[in-house]
Amino acid sequence: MNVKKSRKGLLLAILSIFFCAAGFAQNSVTGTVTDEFGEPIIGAYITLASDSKVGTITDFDGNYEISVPASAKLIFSYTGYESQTLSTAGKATLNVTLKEVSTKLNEVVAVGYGSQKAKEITSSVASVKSEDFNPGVKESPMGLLQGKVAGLTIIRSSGDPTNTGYAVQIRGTSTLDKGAGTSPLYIVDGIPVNSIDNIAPEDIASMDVLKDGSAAAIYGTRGTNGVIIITTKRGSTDSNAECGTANLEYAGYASFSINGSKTGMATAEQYKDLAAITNNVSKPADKGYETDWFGAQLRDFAFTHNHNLAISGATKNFNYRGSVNFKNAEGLTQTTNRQEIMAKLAANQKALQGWLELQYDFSYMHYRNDYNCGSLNNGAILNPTFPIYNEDGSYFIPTGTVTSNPIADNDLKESYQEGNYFRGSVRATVNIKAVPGLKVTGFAALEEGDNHNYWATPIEYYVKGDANKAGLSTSRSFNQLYEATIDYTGQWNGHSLALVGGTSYQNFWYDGHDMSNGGFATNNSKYYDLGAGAVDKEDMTVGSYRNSNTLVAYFLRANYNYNEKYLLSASIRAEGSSRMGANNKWGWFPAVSAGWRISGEDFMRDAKGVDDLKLRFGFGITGNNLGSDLKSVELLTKGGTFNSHGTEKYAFTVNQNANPDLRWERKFEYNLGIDYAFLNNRLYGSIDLYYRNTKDLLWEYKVPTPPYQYDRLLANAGEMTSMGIELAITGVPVRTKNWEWTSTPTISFNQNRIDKLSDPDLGFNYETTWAGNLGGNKINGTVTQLLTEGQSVGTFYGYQWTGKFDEKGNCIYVNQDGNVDEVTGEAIIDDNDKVVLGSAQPLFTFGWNNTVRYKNWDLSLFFRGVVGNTALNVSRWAYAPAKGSNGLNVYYSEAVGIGEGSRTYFQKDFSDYYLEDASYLKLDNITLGYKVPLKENKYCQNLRVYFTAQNVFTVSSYSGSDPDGINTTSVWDPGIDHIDFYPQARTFLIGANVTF
Amino acid sequence: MKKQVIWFLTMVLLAGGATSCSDMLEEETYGASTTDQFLNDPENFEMLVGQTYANIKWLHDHWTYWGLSTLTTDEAVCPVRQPAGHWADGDFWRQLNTHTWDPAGEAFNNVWYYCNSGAVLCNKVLQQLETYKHKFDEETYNKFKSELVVVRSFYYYTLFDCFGRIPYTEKFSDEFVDLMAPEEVWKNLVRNLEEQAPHMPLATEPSWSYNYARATQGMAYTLLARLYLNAESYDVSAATAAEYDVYNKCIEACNKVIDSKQYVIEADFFTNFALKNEVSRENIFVIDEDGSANNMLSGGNPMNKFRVSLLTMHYNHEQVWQSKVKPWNGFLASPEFIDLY
Repeated sequence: MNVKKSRKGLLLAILSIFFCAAGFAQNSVTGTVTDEFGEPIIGAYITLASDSKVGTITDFDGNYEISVPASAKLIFSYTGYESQTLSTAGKATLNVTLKEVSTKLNEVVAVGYGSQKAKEITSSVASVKSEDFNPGVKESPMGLLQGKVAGLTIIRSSGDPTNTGYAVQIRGTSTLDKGAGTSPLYIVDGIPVNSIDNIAPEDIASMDVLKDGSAAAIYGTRGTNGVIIITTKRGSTDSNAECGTANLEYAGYASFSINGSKTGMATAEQYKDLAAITNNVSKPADKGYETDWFGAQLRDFAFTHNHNLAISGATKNFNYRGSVNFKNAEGLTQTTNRQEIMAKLAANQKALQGWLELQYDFSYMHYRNDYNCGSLNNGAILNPTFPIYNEDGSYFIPTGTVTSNPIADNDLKESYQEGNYFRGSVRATVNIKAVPGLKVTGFAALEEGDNHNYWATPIEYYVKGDANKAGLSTSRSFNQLYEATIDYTGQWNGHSLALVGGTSYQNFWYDGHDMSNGGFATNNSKYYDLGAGAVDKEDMTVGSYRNSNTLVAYFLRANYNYNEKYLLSASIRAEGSSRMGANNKWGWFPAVSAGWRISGEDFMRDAKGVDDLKLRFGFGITGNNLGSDLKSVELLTKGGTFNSHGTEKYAFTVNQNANPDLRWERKFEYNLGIDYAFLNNRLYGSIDLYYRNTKDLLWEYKVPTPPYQYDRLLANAGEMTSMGIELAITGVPVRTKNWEWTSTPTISFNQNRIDKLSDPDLGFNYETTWAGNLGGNKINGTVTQLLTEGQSVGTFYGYQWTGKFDEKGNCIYVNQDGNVDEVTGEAIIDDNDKVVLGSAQPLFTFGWNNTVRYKNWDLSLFFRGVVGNTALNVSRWAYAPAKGSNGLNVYYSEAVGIGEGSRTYFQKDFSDYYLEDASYLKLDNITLGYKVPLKENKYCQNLRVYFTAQNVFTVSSYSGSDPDGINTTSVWDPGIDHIDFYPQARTFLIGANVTF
Repeated sequence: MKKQVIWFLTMVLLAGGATSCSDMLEEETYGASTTDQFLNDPENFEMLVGQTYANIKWLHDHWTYWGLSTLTTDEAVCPVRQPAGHWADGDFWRQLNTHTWDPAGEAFNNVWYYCNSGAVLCNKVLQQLETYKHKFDEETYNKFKSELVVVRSFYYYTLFDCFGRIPYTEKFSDEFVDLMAPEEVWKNLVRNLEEQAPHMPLATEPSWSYNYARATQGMAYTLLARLYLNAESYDVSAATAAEYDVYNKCIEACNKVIDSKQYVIEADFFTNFALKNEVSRENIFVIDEDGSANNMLSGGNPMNKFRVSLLTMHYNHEQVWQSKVKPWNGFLASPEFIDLY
C-alpha cells in the first residue's frame, strides 16, 4: 500500500513538472503501454486521431515515442484490447493502461497441469463457464454440458433420479470397448477422480473439455477418450476486502416433474378391441378387468428441491469458500427417491512473504437412493385385463411370460442404497523468488467412496423361492494421488515461455463384499440380523473381492509464444500402468501443436471487423488403459470341483490365457482448427477438423487350442479411424442499452470406421462379430449389428424389406443373391441376403442456445438434437401383436397399422422393417429470469428469480418414447432403444439466486 | 533467461530421479495366487490336477460330446416346444435326430475345443509338475505324472474318436500345433497308456471312494482295450494293426481289468445311475457331478451340474421336487426305448 501511494506521489510530481512545459508547437510524447497486470504491450499502435498516417508502435518493453502537434489527440489501440483516445495537452509522458476486451478469447482455460489464455491455446479445448451451464435439475455435472460443446455427446438414457449416469463421449467412438476404457477422464481441481456425482452444480466454476490428442496427451494412458476438467468455485482473490467480510450466497429451486413420454402400449380398452382394430388378425386374451399396470406405479408428479448455501471471504493472504448443498429428488415411480447432502470447503493461504502458497479442498457427500421394487417394464407389457387384486383382496399373480405383479412387488419388497464420498487435497506451492517465475508444487489428494445396498423380501412374498430372503452388499473405492510439479514462466523481448514438468503417482483400489440369507423366523431380522436365517444355511451366500491398480508418470510441457502471434506447444508424458503386460509397462505419449494468430500480424492491422483470427494445428498420441486388472498375468483361481481322497474339493487353475505383451491402445490424432472473433467480438467461435487413428485396439481374439488353453486371448491388434468437423459460433445480433440477443449454435459431424480386427501374423484372425443384442419377449438374443472391418460401429445388418407383405401377411425380403427353391420356385432368404441397413451413428448432432436480455429480464431457449441416425425401437418389435392370441399387452400403433394394412403382425426375423430414423429436435429448456432491482441495502445485494421448463417438446418421426434417450455412444448396442419404459420427465422449476 | 530454464530442467531431473520406481507397477493379486505361492504347500498340487477332471464335465453338456452321442441315437430326442419355440436352436436338435446336421454346428466345435483345451490343461499341469519337481518325492511325482498322462489320453481319445486327425501335442508351449495323422495319434495314445497303466492305482487302492471319479489302472486298461479293438476303424493300417497284434492286446487289456477283481456286474442295473452312484462297483470311470453346486464356476464359465435331470424334467417338476432350479423340459425318450429296460 505504502509503496503504491509513494509511487503515485512521484508520478504526480513528475507530471506537474512537465505541466509547465506545455504550449510547445510540435512536441515529443513518450510513455509506456501496459496491460491491466502491468505487463508491457508490445506492438500497440499509437496514431494521431486527426491523421491516421501519423503513428508509431511500442517496442519490446512497451515504450513508444511520437512527435505530435500540441494538444493533439492520440488513439492507443491493440488487438483484443479496448482502444483509448487521450489528449496530449501539456503532457510529454503519457503512460497508458489498455483494458482487454472481455471476450472468450481472454478467458483462462484449464489445460491440465496449468492453464492458458484462450487466445494462446493451440489445441482443441472447449471451455464452458458456470453462467453458460444448462439450468434445471441435473443428476450429475455432465447434465450441465449436454448439447453445449461441439463434439461432446452426452446422453441421459434414464429418467430415474437414482441413476446418476450420463453416457459421455468425445468425438465419437475411439475404442471397441473390449478391455479398454470408454469413459473420458475427469479431473476435478487437479485430481483424476473416480466419480463426479458428488459435485453440486452450483459449486462448479467452469468445465473444460480437452478434445484432441495434442491437448489430452499430457494425460497419457487415459487421454484417448478425452479429458473433462472441472474447476470448482473458490473464494475471491481480491485482497483488498475488509478483514472478516463474508459473502453469503443462496441458490435453490423447487421443481415438479410429470411423465413426459409415452410407452406406446395399448390401454385396456384398446387391448380389448384388438380383434376389431386388426381385422381379426390378432386377438386379445381378455380376462375381463381393466388395469393400467404402468400408470398405477407412477406418481402424479414428482417433487424435487435443491438448496445451496455458500459463504466466501477473502483477506490479503487468505480466502475461502464453503458451501452446503441439499437435494431431494423424487422419481416418477412411486417410492423412487434420491437424497443428497454435500459439504465443500476451498481455501487458499499465502505465507512466508509470498514464498509459500497453500490450497486446500475438502468435500463430502452422503446420499440415499430408494428404489421402486416393482417393474415398469412388466407394468407396460402385462395383460391390461388382469386385475391387480383378486376378489378376496389378495394380490393377483399373473401367469404366462410375466409371472410377477409389479404392484405387489413394490408393496412387499424393499431395496435401497446409501453411500458416502469424501475428497480432499492439499497443494503447496513454493515460489522460488530467487529465480523469478520458478515455482515448485507438491500436491496430495485422496478420495474415498463407499456404497451400501440393502434389500429384503418378506416371508409372505408370493414366489416361494424368492420369499423370506434378505441381503446387503458394500463396495468401497479408494484413490490416492501424489504429484510434484515445477513451473517456470518467463518473458523476454516479446518471447513468452511457460514450462511445466512433473511426476505423478496414483493408486486406486476397490473392494467389496456381499452376503445374503434366507429362512428367517420373522420379517424383522432381514439385513439387520442376517445370521438369524435358517439353520441349514441353504440360502446363505457370501462373497468378497479386492483389486487395485497404479499409474506412475513423468511429464513435461513447454508453451512458447512470440508476441502472442506465433504459438507453439509441445508435451511428453511417460507413463507406466500396473495393468499392462510385463513386457509393456511403460509408454511414451508425445504431443505438439502450433498456432498462428493472423490477427496479430501487421497486415491485418487495417482489416476492420477482425478482432481475432487464429489458425492452429495439433498432433498428439494418447493411450487408453485397460479397464480392468490382472489381465496380463497367469494366476491360479478357483475352478470346478473334483473328488479328492473321497471328498469333493475345489480345483485351482490358470483362469485365462496370459498375455505378457498387453499394452495400451494408441490413438494418433491430427487437429486443424480456426478460432475467430469478428465485428467487435459480436461474432466468434471456432472450427475444428480432426482425423484420429486408433492402433493396437484391444480385442478378444479367437485363438487356436492348442497351443492356447482357452480359445480367447485379449490382445492388441485392431485399428480404427474416425474423422469429423466441429463448428461453434456465437453471435450477438442485437446489442443495445436495453436489449441483447446472443445466439450460439454448435454442430458436429463424426464418422468412424473399423479398419482392422485381425493380425494373421500373430494368429489373431478376424471372425464375424455380432452386436446389437436384443432382450425381450420372443426376440431375446437376436443380433442386429455387425462389427466388421470396413464398417463403422453401429452398423445394422439384416434382411432388407421390399415394402410388401405376402398373402399370409409376412414381410417379403429382398432376395439379394437371387437364390430360389428349385421345386417351388420360391425365393430362399438366408444369411447371404443380409445387407447393411443403416447406421446408429448420427450424421451430425447440434445444439442451439438463444439468450435474450431486456433490462432486468432474461430469456433463454436451448434446442438440441441429432440428425441422420437409425434406431431400433425394440418394444415396438417385441410387443407387436402376434398372429392369433396375445397373452401380453401389445404395441398399439402396430395394431392400428395392421388394421390399416401398412404394418403386419410380429415378424421373427430382423430386417429394416423394424428400423426407423431417430433424428430429433428437442426444446431442451426454456428459462425466464428476472433480476429484481434492489435499492442499496445492508441485507441483500442481488436477487434473481427464474422459471425453467425442461424437456419442453421433441419433434421427431420416431415411434418410441423419446429418441433423446437412445444411446448412440456405445460400441455393443448403439441405436438400440431397449425395452425400458422408465419415463423421461418433463420438469417445471422455480428457482432463486440471492447474494447477501 | 537461459539460466532460469536450466534451473527448471535441473529441478525436473532431480525430482524425476528422486521418485524413480521399480516395483510400483507390480500388480497386487489379492485373492488369486501365483503358482509359486500356491505350491508353497506341495499338497496343493492335487488341486491343479483336480481341474483336469473338473473340465471333463464340459463333455457331459448337451451342447458337446454327450448331447451329440445321445441325440444321434434312439436313446433320446429333443423336439421343439411350441408356442414359445424353446429348443428350436436353429433346428440343431432335430438335425441330430435325422442325421442331417451341419458340420459347422456349435456342438461339434465345442467337442473340439473342450477336448483340446482339456489336453492343453493336462500339459500345462505336467509342465508345472516338472517345474516344481524338487518339491515332490519320487513316488508322488510319478503318481501325478502317470495320472495326468492317462487323463490327457482320455481327452485325446475322445477327440480322436470324434475327428481322427487332431492337433496332438505332449508339451505346453506357445507354438502352433499341426494336425497329426490318425495312425500316429493312435500309436502315441497306445504307447502312453501301455507305459502308464501299470503304475496307476487299482480302484480299491486304498479304497473305492478314494478313487471315485479318478483315473485308475482299470480305466487306463479299458481305454487301451478300446484303442486296440477299434484300431482298424481309426484308420490304423493293417500292417500296423498286425505289428501291434491289436486283438490279442485287446484281450490282454480286458483281462487286466477282469483279473484285477475290482469290478462286479451290479445286480440292480440302476445302481450304476443312482444319484449317489459311488456304491456301484460296476462303473470303471465316472464324471462326478454335484447337485449342491449347481451354479458353480468352472474354467471361468458358469456350469450347471446335474444336467441330465435338468434336461429331462418338465418345467413344472420344479414344484413337484421343490427344486432350486427350474428344469429345462428338453430331452425325451420314446416309450419303446424305455420299455427295453
